[in-house]
Amino acid sequence: MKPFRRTRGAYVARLTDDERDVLASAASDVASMLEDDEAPETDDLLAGLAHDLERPTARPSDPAVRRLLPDASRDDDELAAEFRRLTQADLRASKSAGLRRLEAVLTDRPGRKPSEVVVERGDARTVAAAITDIRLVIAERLGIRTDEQAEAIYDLTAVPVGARQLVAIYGALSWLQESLVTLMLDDARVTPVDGSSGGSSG
Amino acid sequence: MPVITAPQETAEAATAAAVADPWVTIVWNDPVNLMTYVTYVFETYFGHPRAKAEKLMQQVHQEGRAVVSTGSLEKMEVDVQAMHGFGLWATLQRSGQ
Repeated sequence: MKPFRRTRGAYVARLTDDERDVLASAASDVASMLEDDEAPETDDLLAGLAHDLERPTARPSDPAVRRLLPDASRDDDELAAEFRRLTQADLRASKSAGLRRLEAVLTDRPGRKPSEVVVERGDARTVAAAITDIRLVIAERLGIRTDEQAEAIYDLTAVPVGARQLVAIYGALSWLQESLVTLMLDDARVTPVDGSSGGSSG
Repeated sequence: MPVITAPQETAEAATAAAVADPWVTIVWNDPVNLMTYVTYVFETYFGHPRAKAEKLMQQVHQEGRAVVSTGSLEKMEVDVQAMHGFGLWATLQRSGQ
C-alpha cells in the first residue's frame, strides 16, 4: 500500500488486489447496514408499510448505525426525535451513496497502472467521509471509546485473533485517510472548496 | 448621553440578542476522527480561517467539545446534519445552556 499523492489533477494511492478487495467489501458492508436498516426483507405488505412509516426516522437499534446517525441532542429526546424525522432518511441515503462511491473507487481501475486507486478531486470529500463512516463502525465494533483505546488497538497481542482483520482494516483506512485529507486540506487552502460554505460561522 | 439606561430598554436589548443567536452547534470529541479531517471540515464547511479551525479542533480534542456555530434552530439543524454527514458527532442546544 502506498499513500495518496497528487497525480494528474487527482489523488492517487497504490493498493494490492487483496487490499482493494478487503476495503471495498468493508465499504459495501457499511452501505448495506444503512440500506438494510431502511428496507426490511418482508412479503408482508402491512409490515413493510408500518416499517416505511416508522423505521426510517426511528433511533437505530445497532450502536454502530447509531454512531453514523447520532442523537442531535444529549438532553432533549423530543428535539432529537424531531431531528431524525427531518434528516435521517436523507443522511442514510447520502452516506450509503458515498460508501457505494468509495466501493466503486476501490474497484475501478482507471489509472495507468493496475494498482492505482484514483480519487478525482470532486469526489474527495465524499470518499473521505465514507472512509470516516467505515472507521466509526469498526471502532464501535472494537469497543473503542477513548483516545487511549484507539492507540492501544495496534498492540496486536492485546487484540483477540478474531478482531485482528478489523484492526488491520481500521489501520489501513486511517493511514489512507490521513494522506488523502492532508492533500485535500493543502488544496483547499490554495483554492477554497467551491460552494461548500453552507454553514453559519460562529 | 443617559447615565442610567431605562430597565425596559435593557430588557429589549437582551431579548434581541437572545433572538439573534438562540441556538448553538456543538462538536464533541471522539477517538476516531483524525485531527486533519476535523480541521478540514471546520475550514471548508464553516469557512473558518486556518487559525480558527485549528483552535476549534484543539478545543474539541482537549476539552471534549467546542461550539462551532451559532444561529437559529433551523440553521443549526442544517449544520448538525452536515457534521453528521462528515461523520463528526454534533448536537444542537439552546445558547447559554
